This record gives sequence, C-alpha cells and structure tokens, in this order.
Amino acid sequence: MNNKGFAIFCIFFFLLIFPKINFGQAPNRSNMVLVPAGKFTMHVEYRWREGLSLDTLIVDDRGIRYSYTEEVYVPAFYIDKTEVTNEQFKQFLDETGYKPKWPRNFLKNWHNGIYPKGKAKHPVVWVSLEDAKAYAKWAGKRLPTEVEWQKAAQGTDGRTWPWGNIFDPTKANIDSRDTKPVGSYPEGTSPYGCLDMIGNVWEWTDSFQSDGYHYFSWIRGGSYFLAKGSRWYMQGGPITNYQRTKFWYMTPALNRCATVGFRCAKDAE
Amino acid sequence: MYNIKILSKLFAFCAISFVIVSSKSLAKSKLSYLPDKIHVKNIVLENETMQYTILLDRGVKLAGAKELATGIDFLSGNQPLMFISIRMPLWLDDVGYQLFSIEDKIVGENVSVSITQKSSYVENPLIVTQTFSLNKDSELTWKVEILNSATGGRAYRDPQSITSDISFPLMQKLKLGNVLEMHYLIPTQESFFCIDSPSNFIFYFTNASDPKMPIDIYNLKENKGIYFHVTKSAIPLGFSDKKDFVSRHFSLTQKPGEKTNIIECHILPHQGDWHVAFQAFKKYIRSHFDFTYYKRPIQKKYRQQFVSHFTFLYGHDIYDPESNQFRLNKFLDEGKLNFGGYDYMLLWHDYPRVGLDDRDQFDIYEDLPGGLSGLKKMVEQAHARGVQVFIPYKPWDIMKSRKDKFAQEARIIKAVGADGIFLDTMNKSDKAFRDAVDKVNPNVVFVSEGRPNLEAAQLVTGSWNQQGSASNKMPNVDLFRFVFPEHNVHNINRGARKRDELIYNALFNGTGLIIWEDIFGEINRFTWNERILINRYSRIVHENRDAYLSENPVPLVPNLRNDLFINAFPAAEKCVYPVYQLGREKVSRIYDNRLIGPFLEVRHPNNWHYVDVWNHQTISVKKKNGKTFLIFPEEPADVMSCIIGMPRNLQVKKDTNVLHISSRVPVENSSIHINTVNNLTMMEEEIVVLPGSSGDVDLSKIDLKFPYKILVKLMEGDILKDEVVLDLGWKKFD
Repeated sequence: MNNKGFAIFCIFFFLLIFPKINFGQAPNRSNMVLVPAGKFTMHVEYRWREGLSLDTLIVDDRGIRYSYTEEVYVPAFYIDKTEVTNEQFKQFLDETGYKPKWPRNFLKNWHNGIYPKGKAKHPVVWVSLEDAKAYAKWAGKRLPTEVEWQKAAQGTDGRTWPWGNIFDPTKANIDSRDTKPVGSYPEGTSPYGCLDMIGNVWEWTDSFQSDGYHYFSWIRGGSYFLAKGSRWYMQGGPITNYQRTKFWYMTPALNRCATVGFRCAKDAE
Repeated sequence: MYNIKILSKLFAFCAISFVIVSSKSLAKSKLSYLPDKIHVKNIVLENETMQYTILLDRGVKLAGAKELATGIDFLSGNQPLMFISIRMPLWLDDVGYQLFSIEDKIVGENVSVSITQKSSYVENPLIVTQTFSLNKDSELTWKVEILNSATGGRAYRDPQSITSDISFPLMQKLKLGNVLEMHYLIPTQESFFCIDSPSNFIFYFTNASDPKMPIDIYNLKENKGIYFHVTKSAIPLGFSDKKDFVSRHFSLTQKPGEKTNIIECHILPHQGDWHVAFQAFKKYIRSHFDFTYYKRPIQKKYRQQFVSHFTFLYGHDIYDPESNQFRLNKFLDEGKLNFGGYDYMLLWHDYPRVGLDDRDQFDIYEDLPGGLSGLKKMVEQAHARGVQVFIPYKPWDIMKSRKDKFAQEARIIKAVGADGIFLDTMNKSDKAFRDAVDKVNPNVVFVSEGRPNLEAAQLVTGSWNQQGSASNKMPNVDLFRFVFPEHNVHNINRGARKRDELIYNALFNGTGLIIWEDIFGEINRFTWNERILINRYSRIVHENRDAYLSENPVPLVPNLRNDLFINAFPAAEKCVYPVYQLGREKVSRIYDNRLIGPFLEVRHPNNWHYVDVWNHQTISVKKKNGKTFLIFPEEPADVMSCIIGMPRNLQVKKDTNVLHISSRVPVENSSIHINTVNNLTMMEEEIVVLPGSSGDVDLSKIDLKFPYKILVKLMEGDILKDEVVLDLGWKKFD
C-alpha cells in the first residue's frame, strides 16, 4: 500500500471509529435519519384532565378522551437519531457563549459550565424551548414539528410504541431514577431508526403557541420519571406515540425541567 | 329557657310571625306514677312548662305532651306514639316484650326514668331499655339501648348473634290538624337541595357523619308542631325524601352480650313552624362546638372577605411573559373594573404541572418569578391594597414521601407572608397541620375545598360551596351558613356556563363568591351580565356586612306570599332581607301574580324605613291593626330584591336644583355619598362624596343620566347607615 493509499485508508478508518466527529458547524447528517416524504395519518389522543384539554376543536362525544385524526402530507426531513447530549450542548456553549435572558435553572445539573461526570452521552436537560431552539439554530437544524416527531416515532402503520404495538418496559427508560446515555435501548428503535422516542426524556416540539391567555406547546414521548401517589400528577413514564401532553409555559425557571430534552430535525431539501 | 335569648333578639329586629311555647324560669321537674308504682300504667314527667305522659301498654308510648300554660295537648287526637318496634325474624315475629324494671332518677333540674323490657320467650333474649328525661329546655330526651343477652341452651349450645328489625313509627303517624295542611322539615344527606318544595323543606347541612337535623312536623293553620332531634344514632338515619321518612326499617345484628345505643334524641312540641326546631338544632350544635380558631383576629378580617379570585399563575392575566414577572397591580385594577374588586386571591402554582419532574408543590414555589422573596413582595403589594393572599396545599402530592409536609407548608407561609391555606381536595384539616402553621404564624386561615363536617369545621374556618346544582339553584338555603355565620362560605361552580343563580344565591345567603375564569388553562369567562351582577352583589354585601354577618341570621322568614323566599340578616340598627321570587316567569296578564303590594310583616321601631338596594327602589310601609307591612309599590325590576331596613336618619330636601342633605342623628366617621344609577347596568356610579353627615349638592353640576335616579347614602366608614332613593326622572313613587 502506498503512502497516499494509506492516508486515504486512515481517513476512512478514523471516520469508521469516530463516526460522530464533527467537521465544524455544518449540519452533520451522520447521526440523523431520513424520513421520506409522504402522507401521514396523524392520530393524537390525550387523557382528559382539567387544564390539559384546551383544544376546543377536539371534543370526544364521550367526554373522556380527546382525540383527533387527520391525514397530512409530510415532506421528507432528517431527524436526529438520538436526543441532543450534554456533550453536544457543551460544544454549542463553548462555541457560541450562549447565555439565556433568564438564566435561572439553565443546565441546573451542570457545575461551572461542565456537565456531571459520566453524563457526556446523557440527553441534555434543564433547557427551555428557547435554549433548545438556540442550539438547533447553531447546529443548522430546527426542532421537529409535532407531526414530524410522531411520524419519526411511529412510521406509517399507526403503531402504539416505536417498536410495535406491545408494550415492553425493557425497550425504553421509562420508570427509573435518572436519564441514561442516549441509544441505550437499541431494541426500542422506531421504524426509521430513531432511538429513545419513548422515555428517557420528554422532547420539545416546535409547537409553541398562544391561546390568547397562555403560552403552551406539546411535549412528546414521556420520560424516565413517573410521579407516584396521585392521579392528579401530570402523567409521566411511558407515553405512547400518539399521546400528546400540554406544557403550560410560565417563567423559564419553571419551563426548564429535569425531564425535558430535545432532538433536532432538518428539511431534506 | 330554650332559645328564648336568641329568639327575643329576633323578635326585636326582624319579622318572625311564629310564636314559641312560652316557658318561664327553670322549672322544678317531677315524676309521678299512675295509679301507683306497683300497678303503673302511666308515668308523668313534668316541669312548670311541659307535661309528658308515657303510657306503658304492650310497649312504651308517648301518649301526652301538654303545654301547661295553654293547656294544649299536642298529641290530642293522635294515637299514642309508639317509639320503637323490634321484630325477630321468621316465626319469632311479633313476640311481646314485658316490663322488666323501672328506675327513676332526679339530677338537678333533670328528671329521668329508665324502663327496661324483656320478652318472656327464651328465643328472644333482647333487653330493651328506654330512658326518658325532661331536660332544662323542656325537651323530652329519649334514649334506647338494646342488649343481646343470649345464653346457650335449647336448640343452641352456644349464645347466638341476633338480627332484629327495628322500625320507628314515631312522628310518621302523627296528625296535627288537617293532614293536607301539615308540613315537614326533613333532614337529608342524599340531596344537596335545601328546598324540596315550598311546603316541605329538605335541608342539606354537612354530611352523613354529622348530627342529624331535626325532623319537624308542623301545621301552620293549627300553629303547632313537634320536632324530633336525633343527636346520636347507631343506625343510618338519613332521609332522602319524605317518602323515605314515612317507612323506615333498620336491621341490627348483635353478638351475644353486645349492647347498642340505638338512638338518642330530643322531642319538643312547639307553636309555630320549623324555625323552632332549627333554633334548637343550632343551639345544640353550637354548644358542642369549639370556636377557638374563629376568635383569631385574622378570621375577623377574612370573614369580611366576599369576592375571591382563583389565580392560575400561568395565565397572562397575572403573569407577564415579557418582563417575566407577575403583574399584580394591573391584575387587581382589572379585577376592580370587571368585578368590583377582589377581597382575596388564591395563588395557584403547581397543578397541572406538578409530576412532570421531581419538583413537588414546595419546590415549585422557589422557581416562580423572584422565588419566595418575589412572592413575598407580591403578597405585600396585595396587602397594601387590602387584598388577602392564600396559598394552596395538596395532600395528594406525595412523590417525595416527605415526613415534614406540614412544616414545609408552614415554611412557605412564613416566607411569603400569606394569610391562609387552601386545602385542595380536602374537607378537613389535621390538628397537627394547624399546630405546625401556628408555630410560624397563628394568624393563618384554613379554607377547605369540600364542605367540612362539624368536627372539621372547628379547624377549618372557611370553605367552598361547590355543590354544583345546589348552589346554582334558587332559592336554596345553605343552612350551614345560618348555623355558623362565623364560617366563611364561598359559592363556586367552576364549570357553569350560566351563573346568575349562583350569584343570586350568594346575595340570598350572604355567602362569598369565587371568580375563577382560568381553570388550570381552560378559559370559562364570566359573561358581561354576570360581571354586572357581581359588581352589584359585591357593593351590597360589603356596605351591609354589619347585618349580613349577624350572629342570628334567619333562614326563610315566613312572609305573605307563597312565591317569595326571604332570608333575614338582623343587626341592631339594620336588617337585610334578600328576597327572591320563584316562578316570576309565569306572571302574565292572565296569571296575574305580579309582585305588587304587601309581602312581609316586620316588627321594627316606628322610625325605620326600607330601601331595595338591588333594584334601587323605595319600599313602602303600611300599618294596619298595629302591624307593619312592607309593600312593593311597583313590581321589582328583577327576580331578586335586597331590602335594607334602617332607622330613618337622612333628610333630603330638593330646592329646584339643589339637594339639602342633613342627618337627624350624628354618625361618627361619616360621609354622604351621592351615587347615580346606570340605567343600563343598574350599577351605582360614584359622583360626589361629602365629608360629615350633611351638605348641599347642586344637581346641575352632576352629570345626570336618564332616568335621573340618585342615591343619597349616609356611610359610616364604608358601612351603609341610611339611604334615600330620589327619582327625578320619568317616574315618581313615594
């Protein structure tokens, strides 16, 4: 093998063993999956709870479960295979010096700008929707819309969980004490190859809106945390592909949570 | 004697047409056996007021109840009332009970006799002991105890448990005059409705575990009735309606040797209607109640709060996302414009967010804008505007398994300086909770979402009335409010899309009202009309709280019409009569039942006069045969009226365009308010305030709006002392 050939081999070898290496700010699609364009039957449900049902267009005649189904055309898009990690978020901070306007609870679990030891690959949490959007912008991406998120998790067959219709607690981090490194449940992969769509952390979607009196958005997928002891708690743990949860915005300190992270998306064209 | 003190006050200040059994000084009680103790047939228990005769004839029966002053025997014309009937199952039916022993006892003014009976059939080993005592209020107290004295033998080797069937024919067969003219007051735990029909009252009080309301049967034509007040019972004596009352059987299973106190109750014949029973009940309940927490200074202030706001902190009414702060002053300003102002607000910070991560109710406070010190600043701002602030407590929030939840709530209370705690989903409080909060600040009010029972109401001094259909319906009476005027009740029906009756109900019962439009994110705005009603309601209850908070409010005073429902809130120099007309929509030219003319007899000093402050109308007075009647000179503009009786003090003379105003009797800290009435909303508009109790007003300088209705109000501080309604426009009444 000549020198030139060896150099090319080395480059490919390094690419092979360090697949996540980032060449600058240009979006890296190597950690993203392609969701092809096509019609998607979006079926959404959520449990009736006082204050969580304010979508007056969605009224079930039983008055118990609110749901709607609509067929939408979703253009092709890329979506992160996993949730954005502490390590990735640190890189964003290092390069941009991002400081939120209202910093309380921003990366609350970090210390002196450094994520907790051993949690490099854990999803970043204690970030608000604005923080997440700032990251996405830096990464040359955006947050997925709700329909994109659901299509990425569900595929086109309307399945309940990313891996199928049968609930399997071994395929997601849904009732534990903490987050786990992203991709810890390869068997929980969605039809397009997304990991941890269910559990680990809730994910922001690009659905921020106002009803005239409040700001809210939909968060999806549930998290590792399941509050126990009362039916009045916001339901956590495993949340199905088609279940949406309303997140009421108030002060950023409250909007940042130990259980909410995000992944990014990008138009295919 | 019984309730004389309370009632004499009522007589002085408001209209009660019933007359009670007169009873003078505490009487010496005595007991006699007829013909003698050996051959006893009758036992007579009497004091100087009442004489009760118990007949021993195949059972124990009340055969006579005679009022000695008048000689009326309330049971004349009736079969003796059989008190208790116990049947054994199957073939042992109708077994007879024989007299076993009689013991009498005189303790102080009370005389009592215990009659024990037993069957001679060995299969029926029940021993029934009935004790009658004549108490100092001339009530006959009746206690029944049943003992299963089974021993082994005969067909059974071992003593057996026994199930018996108990029935109470008492009162059910009572006849007082013409049956069609008899009325019933029946307690119920099933229904929230206070009034079943205008002639039969069914009262909801608290809940099934509380002492029962007295059953009262009365005949207004005969002017007599009898009440039967159960204070303890081992059987579920709840009635859902009159039918239920007429036939009730209770099954009782007792182990060998087991003794059961079946019932303890008071019986008293009376003249008049159910109000006598109600007063006896009220007196009994209150004499067994601890008012410690009601005597605290904070309660006095809280009790004068009527309009409350449920503040969901995520809504932009209160939270400003631009500045990331709560906009309290603007929020209170808007409350003033929309509803006439809030007296207190409940800050709601956690539900439905809590549970998303491991921040529980106590952690979330720290993350609100400015943290605890920011909240403290907000509470201080509210206090500066005279608004109290409450924080919630969620018993169901147990994710952290904290052992110090009470101390945690106390910590927050202290840190933010809140005035009270709202007990979410609860209808009671733990004494340990109160103690924990007392440690940091004894001036904190506990308010529960649910209606507390009597025991709980000793710790919880305010509560919501969210009985849905009951508080929404007129003319329902919230009897709890009348037994405990010290307790602050707030009407609320968060899901209602029509709240006019809820608001009328608050004016009618003198209860508070909760403004709740942002139900955890679901918006349910009050209509423009409801906002107007609340503004008007708020002004009236505040300006007349001296009478509304009277310790002796009278529910449903008797009046001259079948379709009118009137409560009375009497004070020394004022009486508030909220009036509601049922079936007003039926009034027509053909069915002429217009509300015009005399409707209520009152007994006040001659210098009193009356104003309908809801419809802004002078109420006329007619005197006939020494009686005073209130008169509607024209049909009120609304289904509701609110009439205030007060001593006439203001003198208003109109001299072309100038009003000369003076007061006969000087009032301290007084001012004269000239308000006009907005003819579209009926809301008062404040035009001129004159310090002191006299002055002249030039009408040409007032922006008078058609039809020129002017209110001249004499105020002591912010309490109404007298009011004159001037009609200067297209109509005139006097």
